[in-house]
Amino acid sequence: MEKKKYWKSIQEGKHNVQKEGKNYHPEFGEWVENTIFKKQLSRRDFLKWTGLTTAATTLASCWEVPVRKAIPYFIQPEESIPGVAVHYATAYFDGEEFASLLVRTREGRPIKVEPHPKAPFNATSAKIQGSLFNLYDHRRLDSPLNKGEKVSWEKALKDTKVILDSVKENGKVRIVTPTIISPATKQLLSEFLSSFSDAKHIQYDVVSFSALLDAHEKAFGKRVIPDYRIDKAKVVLGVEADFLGGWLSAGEMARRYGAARRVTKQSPEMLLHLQAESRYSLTGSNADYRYKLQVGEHLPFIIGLYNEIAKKTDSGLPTVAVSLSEDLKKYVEEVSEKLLSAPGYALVLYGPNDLKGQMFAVAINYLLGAYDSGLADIEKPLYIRQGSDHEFFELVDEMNKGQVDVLILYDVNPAYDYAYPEVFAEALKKVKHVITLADKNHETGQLSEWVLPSSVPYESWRDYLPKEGVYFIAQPVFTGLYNAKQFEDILLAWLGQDQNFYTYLKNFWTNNIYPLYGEQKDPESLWQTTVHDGYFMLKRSATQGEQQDGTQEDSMQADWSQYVNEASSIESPELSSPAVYLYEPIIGTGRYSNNAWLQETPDPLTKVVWDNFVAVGPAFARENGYKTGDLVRVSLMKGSGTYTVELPIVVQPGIAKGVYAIAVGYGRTADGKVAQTGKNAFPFASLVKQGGKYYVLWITSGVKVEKTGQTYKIVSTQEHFNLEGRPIVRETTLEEWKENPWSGNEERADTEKIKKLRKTTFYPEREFVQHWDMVIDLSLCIGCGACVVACDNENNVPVVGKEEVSRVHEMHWMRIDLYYSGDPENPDAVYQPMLCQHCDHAPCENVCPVAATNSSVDGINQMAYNRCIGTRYCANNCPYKVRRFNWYDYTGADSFPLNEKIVEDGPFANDKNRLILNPDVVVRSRGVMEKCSFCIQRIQEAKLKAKAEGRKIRDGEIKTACQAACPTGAIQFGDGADKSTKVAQLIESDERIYYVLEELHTLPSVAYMTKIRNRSKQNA
Amino acid sequence: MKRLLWLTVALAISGYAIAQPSAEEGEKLFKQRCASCHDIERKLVGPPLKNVTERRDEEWLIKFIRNSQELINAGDPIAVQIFEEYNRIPMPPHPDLTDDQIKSILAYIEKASKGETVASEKQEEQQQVSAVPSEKMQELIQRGEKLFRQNCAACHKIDKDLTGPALAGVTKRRDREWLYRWIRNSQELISEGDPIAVQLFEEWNRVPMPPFPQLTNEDIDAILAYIEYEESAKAEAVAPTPGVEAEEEAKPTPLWKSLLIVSVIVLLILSAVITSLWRRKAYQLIQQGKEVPTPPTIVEIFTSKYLTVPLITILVVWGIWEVWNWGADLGHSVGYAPEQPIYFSHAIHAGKLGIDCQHCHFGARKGRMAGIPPVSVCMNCHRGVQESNVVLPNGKTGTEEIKKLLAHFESGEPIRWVRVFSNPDHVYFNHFQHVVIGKVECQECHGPIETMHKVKKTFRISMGFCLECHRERNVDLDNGYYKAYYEDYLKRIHEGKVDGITVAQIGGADCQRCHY
Repeated sequence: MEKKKYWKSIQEGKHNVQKEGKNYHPEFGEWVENTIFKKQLSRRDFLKWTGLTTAATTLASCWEVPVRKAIPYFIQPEESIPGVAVHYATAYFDGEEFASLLVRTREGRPIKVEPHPKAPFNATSAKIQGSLFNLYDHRRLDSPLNKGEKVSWEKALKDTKVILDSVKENGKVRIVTPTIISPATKQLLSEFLSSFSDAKHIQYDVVSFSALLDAHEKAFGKRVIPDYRIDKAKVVLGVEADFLGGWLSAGEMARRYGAARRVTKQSPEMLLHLQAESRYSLTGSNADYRYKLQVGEHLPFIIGLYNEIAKKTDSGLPTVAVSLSEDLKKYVEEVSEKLLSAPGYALVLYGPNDLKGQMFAVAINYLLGAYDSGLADIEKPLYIRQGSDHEFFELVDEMNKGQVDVLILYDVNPAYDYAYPEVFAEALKKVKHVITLADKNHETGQLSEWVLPSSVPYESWRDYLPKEGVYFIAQPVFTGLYNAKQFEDILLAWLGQDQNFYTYLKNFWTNNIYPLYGEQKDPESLWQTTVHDGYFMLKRSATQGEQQDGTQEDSMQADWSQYVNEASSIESPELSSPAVYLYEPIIGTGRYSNNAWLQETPDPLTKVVWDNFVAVGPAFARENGYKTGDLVRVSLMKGSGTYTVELPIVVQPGIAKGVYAIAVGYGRTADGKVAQTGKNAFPFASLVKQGGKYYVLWITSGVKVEKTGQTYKIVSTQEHFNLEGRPIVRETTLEEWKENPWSGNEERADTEKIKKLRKTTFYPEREFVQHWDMVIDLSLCIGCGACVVACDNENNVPVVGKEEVSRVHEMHWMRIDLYYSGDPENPDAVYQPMLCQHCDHAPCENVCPVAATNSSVDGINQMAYNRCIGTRYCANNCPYKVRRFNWYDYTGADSFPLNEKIVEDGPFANDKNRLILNPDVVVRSRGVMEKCSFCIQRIQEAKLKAKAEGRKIRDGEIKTACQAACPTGAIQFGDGADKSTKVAQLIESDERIYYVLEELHTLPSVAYMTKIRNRSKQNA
Repeated sequence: MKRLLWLTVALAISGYAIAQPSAEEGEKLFKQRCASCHDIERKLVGPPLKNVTERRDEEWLIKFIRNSQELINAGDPIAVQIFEEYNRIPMPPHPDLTDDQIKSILAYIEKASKGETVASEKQEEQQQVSAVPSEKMQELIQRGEKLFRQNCAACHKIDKDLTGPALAGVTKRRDREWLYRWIRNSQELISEGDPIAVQLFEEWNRVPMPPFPQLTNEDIDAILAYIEYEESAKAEAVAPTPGVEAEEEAKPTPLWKSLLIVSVIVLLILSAVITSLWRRKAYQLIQQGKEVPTPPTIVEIFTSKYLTVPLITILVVWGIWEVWNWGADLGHSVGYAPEQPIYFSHAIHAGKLGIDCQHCHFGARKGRMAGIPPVSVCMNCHRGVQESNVVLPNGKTGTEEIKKLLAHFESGEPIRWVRVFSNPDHVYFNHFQHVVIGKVECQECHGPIETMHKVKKTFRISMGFCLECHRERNVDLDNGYYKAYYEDYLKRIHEGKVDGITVAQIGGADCQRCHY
């Protein structure tokens, strides 16, 4: 078999790197040529600088030792011992994604979120990993505002209560919130609403699932999202559904995906993942078979697929007339075959918020038996999206007519993220009183009469019901730095009740939730257990009562033809090339825009940081003469005016012709400096009327794109730390692997030889009592970036900003390398997390003149920052390119402010933001090298615990930050010297294990496992 | 049948052994929990506990110790009476003590009340002290020195009066039996009307010597041996014998002295050589019939580059060396003893009263930071102890300093202590690891804190200081962790040639043990 050729960018793909290697150095960007080589430093200047720096160093060393104070507690809380971390179980919901978490706190301040070890929904995405930063963000509101003026809470609550009381009898009150999944909050809201004669609660989802909800309402009478159990599926088809990158719930979906994709010798079957899409999404890049759709083809595709499956299953359901292109016919044929190969275990996820397509997707899932088998669990559905675009549309209409007296907006920002923000802003002016409850004075807040600072989830008591029967209690893990109140407490104050929400919540649970549990236990002790555990699951019997709807399923059978007829009668959104495809990036939809960690985490597919851009396919770019970095003007006629932004082009492999893919969430105007990068793309969404209701669709035709003739500096890390075309990823197909477990990894098949070679060395032989090893399964890595953010948080990794990243100065200890292979128009992708390999024979160690880096007795390549003098020899000698140098003072650890390059509003920017830093990890100063430490602080902590308990370290007891954050479980860590551990057993006996650049005899501690694609041989 | 009988007997014996409350454990607990407020003989914050087991019912005592407030609230007459009598200062509850633990404390009190010392089984050996061979003697002296520093040094010196009298010659002045009693409990002797005791008491301003019931006769012998040794050493130093003089000669002269001597010699030789060379040259010149230039003057010689250049070089090198050393010491600040907002004396609390370090610095047995006790911990005792006649070295009385504490307590303002010991940011140090797992004494790094009125940094706590210990100290192979990982390793690697593994051998000298 011919070796696959991997490439990182289209330019590289054209080069034959192995041959031209020496002349192709994409990582030395323009900057290097422009500055270093062109600027000549004269001898005299050199001497001047030498003298100055010597004098400066001397001066700096003459600093007086400061007198430091040690201020103990006045009365020390029992559970808080300085220096000892306390973990609390809690839960987090940001209106999109739900996760049950364990929060590590030190001296009363949370420093890291980790998935809850036991509860369900315990997966974290990059966003959740970064969400703790929002707690400290110094841009948060510190006081209530009345028309922009600061007022006291007493006055704010009194005055707003007067406003609300004045409309009790005759006035329209509207409350807009994101989806509320808290039963207690819902109850409180309904109490609040019932105190008015005309009040309504509208749920507004930024990433709307209205169409999916409505489709299920039409089919099952329940406006819910079925719980898609892809962990149990055998085949899953995503149609424009980026379910690993943010559609529905990124972390949880990725966890389930990982569970279904894990291949071991004991269970050699894996989920078959099909993806049909026009944009090249994170999910699509992980698919086994990716079917490239042209603009707007998702709808004919899903209808065609429905026809095919209806025919093949002899369901007797009517077929629907649809014209399919040749390609589509082929796709439909192939996909239907694959879906039907696993009846009851196949699932279709349809992404766009378009009712017609969603209804057909529901029909397909029905035909595939997904609802019957519980693969799409409608009995115990998800509640994490409940919003209705139409209700919000009606509200804007009402507002425009001047009918709304009081509008309460909690945690929503439609003036930024609505499809028609300017229409909403206009309508807002016609509302008599607008009260915004938000953590920041955002775009909508600035247009409101009142802005009341509301707490973020980590500061609030709340309960959650993300899925039927699975309850969570979120306890606050922080008292809060800012003068904010919880939404529910404000509601209680408006209701004139004395109690706080904690009491309300506890009473609610005692009266409403615990009785469901069946056997009566002492509610107080139940409450204590629930708060401690963070979750509470009903027994199966307890939910039986609600299953009356279940009987509908049988009767539904007769209605399906009618359902399909209704679906086919619904108007299709008009989509023609070219079209804008909006998508949710790593930074989310605006809530996390000011989060510098997320901004600096490279986009999974283009590796662009700190910007949004217009992504186009290579063929389309050639046709239109686009090059990466060209600034284009994208404009869209909307209602009364035209929305225009100027964004740079990025040519990305795999995107269909006519697609302009733009990420939302950028270009905030009313948030910190970090959030202001990029341009707002929300106005490119369109409102589409289907079946009498409006839906926000993130695919819009009719855009005009013109070149401005200018260029824009777009920064991508894709070609940083290039490994010069060395073969470092290995892959195979499921079929080949089943035949020969060594396939793809044939070089290591001769185990005796490998063992002998590994022992051949000049170095003295070392014996390890402990040896920390990591195994990364390339089949499971989906490239989501959660590990990168977790590492940033855990290890105080500096954020350096766009300018510095453009100079290849990014500090991430962990990066995810992306290698493409095959046709640039529809390539395969491999993600490879790359971190310090902790070589036993590390090339970096030999070249350090001051022995600042060396090998520990337990096989860790350790880096002593305070010993490093910054020669950077080690980084030059590292074949994996994982060492990072502090070129400037990114953290403020230096004495000279002149050296500081601290990202404004980043985690190091000010004292409040710095509270997020991990006190167990030192903050590095300028001029030292740093790199992954295998989370040594966690290893040391676990060792100490084992010593205190007088036992060995248990397998799996130590989890590195990246491992804990990984939703798919691609990373495993443990003591390789202890032959009973999982890691040791994998390394010992798994045929997929290989080491990167093993031929250099560096003896790395990080082993990779060959990627397996679920394909047949000929498709490899 | 016989076997069964034996088993029963064995069980009964072992059961008895288990059930028997251990006075030794009790003593330990007493010191940790009770000693800050109670004494056997004396009234401190709380009443003297002598014969308390006879005065009160055991069950009542257990209840009272566990939670006295409960008894008081329940209206127990004795409890209420004690509460009233002792200025309504409640005894802090000890809910975590088990019945057995309380019983062992009571057993200790009972024994101590009878004047028995607890760990005093080997009393007979005491008379043989003088007969033991010198090696044993040295051990004894070392032990005595340690005990002296821990218990006596706060108030006594060998050759100088301090709070208490100078102790030189005390073994000759007083009878040993008397000394045992006096040291263990001086107040008892005074109240008995012992003439020497009363005289001493009067002479030393009626400041009683605190009792040391924990010291066994053996301990006291060690202390006395140390005192004897010290006084003889002092005496020898005062009147040096010829032998000592010779020894002094053999001592190495300081570096600067030898350098000076060497340089003077070198200078002399150099000048001789230069002179002779010059003469030879002059002679040659005369022989050749050439004019002889005038010989260089002293000034010329001293300003010649052959002399100045090396001299300046030496000076510069020496200067750099000095600056380097001075720079390396920067930040270590040995001897740093800042003024604290409250003149808190460790010599009184840890030394004289013998309060366990971790009673207040309780963080040390739990986590990274030993911590400075919160005001609430101080107030546990000082709610009761609000007066003290002790005159502190700063000239103020204890009462005045306690008043400052009370002011903080009133205002709710935490005390802003000045930090004496601190590691740089790039050093991770965990107290729990060292104090509990490594069983390192506090004094090994912090110096003899219990003798300090004002905390002073004694050692140069540098990386070398840490490593020195890591290289010498063996890990505790009784700990299950070390046993599991290293016992086999030890056997294999060293084949039984060494008896332990040092911390450094298993990675204690690795960078990332402390720097991450």
